[in-house]
Amino acid sequence: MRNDPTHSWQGIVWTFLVLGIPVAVAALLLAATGPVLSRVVTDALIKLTMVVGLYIFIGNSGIFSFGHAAFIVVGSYASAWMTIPPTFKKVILPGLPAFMQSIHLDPFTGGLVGVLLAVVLAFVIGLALMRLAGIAASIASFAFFSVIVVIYNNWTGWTKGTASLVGLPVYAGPKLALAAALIAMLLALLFQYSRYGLLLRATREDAVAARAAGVEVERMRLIAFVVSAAVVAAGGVLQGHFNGALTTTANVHLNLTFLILAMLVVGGMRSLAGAVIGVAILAFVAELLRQLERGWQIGDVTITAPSGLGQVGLGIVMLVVLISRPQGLTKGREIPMPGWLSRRERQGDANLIESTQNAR
Amino acid sequence: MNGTGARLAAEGIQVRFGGLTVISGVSLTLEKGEILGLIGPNGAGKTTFVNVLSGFQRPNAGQVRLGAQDVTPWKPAQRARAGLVRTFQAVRLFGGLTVLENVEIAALAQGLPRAEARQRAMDTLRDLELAPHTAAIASSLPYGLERRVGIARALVMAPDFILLDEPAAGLNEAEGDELLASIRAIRDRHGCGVLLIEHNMRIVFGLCDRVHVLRSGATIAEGTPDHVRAQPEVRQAYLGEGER
Repeated sequence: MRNDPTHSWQGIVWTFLVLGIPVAVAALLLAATGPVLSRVVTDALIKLTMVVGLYIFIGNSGIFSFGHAAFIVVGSYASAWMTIPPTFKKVILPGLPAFMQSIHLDPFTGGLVGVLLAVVLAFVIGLALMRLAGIAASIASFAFFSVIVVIYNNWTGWTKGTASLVGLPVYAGPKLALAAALIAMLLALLFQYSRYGLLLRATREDAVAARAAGVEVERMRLIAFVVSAAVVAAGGVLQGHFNGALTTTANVHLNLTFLILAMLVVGGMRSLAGAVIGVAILAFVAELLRQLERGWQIGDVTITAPSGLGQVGLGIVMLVVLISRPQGLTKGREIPMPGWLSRRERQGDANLIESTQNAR
Repeated sequence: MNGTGARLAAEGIQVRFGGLTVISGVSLTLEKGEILGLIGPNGAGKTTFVNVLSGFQRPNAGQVRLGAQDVTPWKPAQRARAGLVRTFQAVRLFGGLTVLENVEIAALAQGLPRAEARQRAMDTLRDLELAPHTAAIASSLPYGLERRVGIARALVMAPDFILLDEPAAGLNEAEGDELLASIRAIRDRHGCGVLLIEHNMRIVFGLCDRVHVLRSGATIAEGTPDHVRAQPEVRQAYLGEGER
């Protein structure tokens, strides 16, 4: 027997509320304490959006993708091109074609352009990539990521490459990031509940048997890949307009890939609860280690951890979790619905069986 | 029913793996409402032949036809939706999902709406006496139930033709007899054509309308059970191993 709430719509509502309310309350309370924590919270919520986006694909398809940060790159730069004021754009991006320099969209439309570009890219790349499975798909997704990053790295006329592209309107605060994270979670749950989600999970369990049952394996994977890319790109857009600057220097996107994958794996990559819990824990640990790296004043003594501790710490947390709980902290389960809520639903199933028996 | 015609036909099927010819020029037809046994010693090419029929193995030569339609280039999922459905010797359930979901998925993949797919899955599970197990995780099922869920997953698609690859493998004699008896019931109720790979001679000759015997990838006999049983080649190649 399994207690998975997400196969009924009541369970979808339950899962959304039981995860969404704590996220919202914690985020709003912490953000209200001051600008420092407000920034930390906003950053964590943007990561949550990205991780939930990643989960839509990885959780349902079972295919590990190392390539999703490419959609962060593509989405955030496109949004930057659309929203940096034209006068400023002419100065910092002289290599941009004239029509691109003159474009000036509002933040929402600009972000939408970024997401749409990522969707188109995911569709085109996915047509080829989704034919692969297992480790071949993972490696191919990483190759795709590398290609995109190298292009943006060297395409200096449009991206300023390893230098920083600045001037993005800074509009992403904790409330917007919270809204994005909640929408992403709802989208993930609806996808999980949809026929596409169920058919995709069949391919995850056994792709050969899924084909024999009439499931178009590649098509199901592609749908999830595109939806997932859209959500991850939306997170990327927000991140760009949170930091106000973009860069491709010093493996930032490789580190980001590692971070969001670690968040998903630590929490448990087969449940939305896993995605949320993983982000919460690793965002907390990462912030703690960052504080330590900066130096921590206790009375007269200042403890300063060696720099790089953040990355090392994340690696250690991930190792410990993977060794002790290979399925992640949630073991890939959602938070069970309490009995008094799920009773009605079981009643529904019982009625269904009974009605079919009576029909005989 | 999917209305794709009343006959599944394979003509001159040839399969080579590298230099090795696994199936050489085998032809076979399966009518709706008929149970056809496909027998032969280990390595005769029975499973490969089912793979060709179901689209998992592209033949080097020959044609598979469903009714008037040449389905040789069709992929497995497309054939399954057209009413040509198979099971696996190793069952291959969706292990992490529930029994109901396993069957529901096959109904959904036919394009049925959610509610109808679930209802049809429930009906099929009840027909196979699996109703008490709908909420069980497939990987936790005992072997006999697992095999029955595999058949439910195929039947929910309302196939015109169903290819059963050793459905009784690994079951004890009582379980096996019960399962194979239910195959006749399935044929009677659904009117589908059944291709049965099965090692137990007693059952094959008792259950099947016709029998097709393969040996080293070639047909050595076909016809009614009595006719096939009388063939000297069959006795030598297969029955000579001793009836079980």
